[in-house]
Amino acid sequence: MFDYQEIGNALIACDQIRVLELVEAALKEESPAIDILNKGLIAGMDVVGEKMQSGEMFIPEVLMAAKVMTAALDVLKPLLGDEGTAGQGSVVIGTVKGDLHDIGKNLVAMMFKSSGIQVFDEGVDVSPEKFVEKIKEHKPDLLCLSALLTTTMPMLKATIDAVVESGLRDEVKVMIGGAPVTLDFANTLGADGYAADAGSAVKMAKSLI
Amino acid sequence: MGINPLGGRTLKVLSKMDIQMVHETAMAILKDPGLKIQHEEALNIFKQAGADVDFKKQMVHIPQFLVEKALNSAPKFITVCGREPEYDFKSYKGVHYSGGHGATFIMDIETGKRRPAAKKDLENNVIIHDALENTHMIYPEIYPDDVPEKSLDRHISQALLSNTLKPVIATAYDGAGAKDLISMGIAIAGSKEALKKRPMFTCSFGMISPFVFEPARIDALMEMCRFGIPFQIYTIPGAGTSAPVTLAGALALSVAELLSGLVLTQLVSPGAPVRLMGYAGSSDMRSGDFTFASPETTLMAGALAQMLQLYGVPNAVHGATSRSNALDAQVGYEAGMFNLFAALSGTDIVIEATSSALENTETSYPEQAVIGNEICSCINRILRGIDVNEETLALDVIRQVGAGGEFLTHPHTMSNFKNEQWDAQLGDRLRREPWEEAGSKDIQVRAKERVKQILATHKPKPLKPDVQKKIQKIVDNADA
Repeated sequence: MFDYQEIGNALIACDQIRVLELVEAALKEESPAIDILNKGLIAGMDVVGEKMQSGEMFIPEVLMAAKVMTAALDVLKPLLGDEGTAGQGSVVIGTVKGDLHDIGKNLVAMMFKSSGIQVFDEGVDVSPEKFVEKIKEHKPDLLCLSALLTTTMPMLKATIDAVVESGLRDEVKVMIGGAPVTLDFANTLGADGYAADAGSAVKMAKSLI
Repeated sequence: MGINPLGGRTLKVLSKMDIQMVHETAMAILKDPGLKIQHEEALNIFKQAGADVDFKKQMVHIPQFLVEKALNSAPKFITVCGREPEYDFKSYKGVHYSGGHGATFIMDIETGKRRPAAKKDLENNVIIHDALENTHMIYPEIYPDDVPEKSLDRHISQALLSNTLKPVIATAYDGAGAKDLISMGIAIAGSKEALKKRPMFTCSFGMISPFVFEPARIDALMEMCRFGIPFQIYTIPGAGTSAPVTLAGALALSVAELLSGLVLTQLVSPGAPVRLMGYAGSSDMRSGDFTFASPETTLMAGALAQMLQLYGVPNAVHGATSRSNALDAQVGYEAGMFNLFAALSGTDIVIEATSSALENTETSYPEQAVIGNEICSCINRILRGIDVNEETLALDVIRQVGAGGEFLTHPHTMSNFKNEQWDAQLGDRLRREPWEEAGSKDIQVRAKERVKQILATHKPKPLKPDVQKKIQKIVDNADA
């Protein structure tokens, strides 16, 4: 059997050339694409997420790993069919109205993508109404809201309230994040999940989906 | 290993005119009042060299030409050697750090109680410093209470030489102590010649301010200089008690004392390797104590570094060791400010930078050594300054990213962030919640954990059993 862990290790080392070589080699040995994805790449990204949380890996390195992951996914996608994208879930993500900050939100989106989650990124300054509309359109498993400013934190509540009013709250899990957001605040809002950083966001999202 | 501060733009406390005036005053002091030397052989040496000597009063008046001659014959640079060459460093290659000296008590990390320090505590202290990347030279930071006083210097030297591969300051209180110390060095190096080539210790000698040389210490100095062991001269004048309260006067006095020590070494053995260590500061006008950490004391460190660099001699100045009677915020701000100031002066070695000794050097708090190590790591980043070139100005990158973009995912960030940014090892950079999850540990708790980890895992390469035996025999003989 192919040593999938080697793929994961190359990914953790952000070595794109090596990862693509190994994926190529695994396919030559007729290893199933789904195993390459789950046992190699996704297992590697899980470690990246953990290392980010523990402070062992820095954001630029995590982003580099995510880029390598995306490149490997491009190779595997045609071979995976429905099997690959189904089961990992989908997410609508955006920064709430009045807030133009997107670096953290983009980071989370990128980490989601690289762990196989389908991402609908709605950008910044997204109104509660637009979020509701997008839930109807994409029917995601998870809604992820970001706010960087203490002044836009109330908009997290307004957005969740709008989802409740639209009657869609039971159909979608809600996760919030952003520098000033805390677990206590997430609890008072009735969010299903909260993550302090992009690494733990993937973990939390997977547990919710 | 050492870093040249801000590409050589060192901090200047004194103007050119100030330097000239301090120098001229120091020269005038050496002539009158001169020094008290209670040592017949030393008095004769000074007399023969052309100094004006009063044998009855045991006073020496040093003319300027002797200072100039000594500055000419003393080596401009020295290599400070460790037991293993990888720990050697050169005196003119940027700023290095050492621990401190002389604590007689220890704050026990197991019990949290203060008690007299034992030889085991000194050994542990040396092991901690051996593990810290920013301690480049190790001092006798603890004077143990559980060894005979007459052989204290042998016990201290044994503990230092046996538990680290780094350069150390060893101790010899008199001629016999110096001979024993040299014997220890020969046992470790393998031969006389090997020790002369790479002496793994420096011997340190303090004058008593103002202007008194202790005779027993002169015997030790003569042994060391004649053998060729690097010698460090220091004085600790306190402005207001053993020196004028005005800093300029205390500075001139301190410079005169250091130069007189240099002259003595060069008369005893021309070309003997010497380092001058500036350690002058203010005295507390409530208690009369020397203040090891004060704004005046740190100004003196900067000024002394400037003077000693001007003379072109290997040099060291003090950083800080706090008066505080607890490991608290006062220790933090004093160590941070004063060690940075001393490092910016561009001296060869900042003494006390990683010292664990607080309470005016009376008590060793092992955690403070690892906190000091973190402070020096941070200072090193400041010393490296801002690198300005085409790659670092990043005009292309700024244009590629443009308005409203982000730099986080740009390859330029990935390839440069580790070199540009200092990373805390001990300091806290966690957000509130992860910090709480990790046990809400403040710096004292984290530092204590690090000390325990070092003591449990760090085992410096021991001396060979037969060398250990030889050294033990020297110590036993001194005890008897």
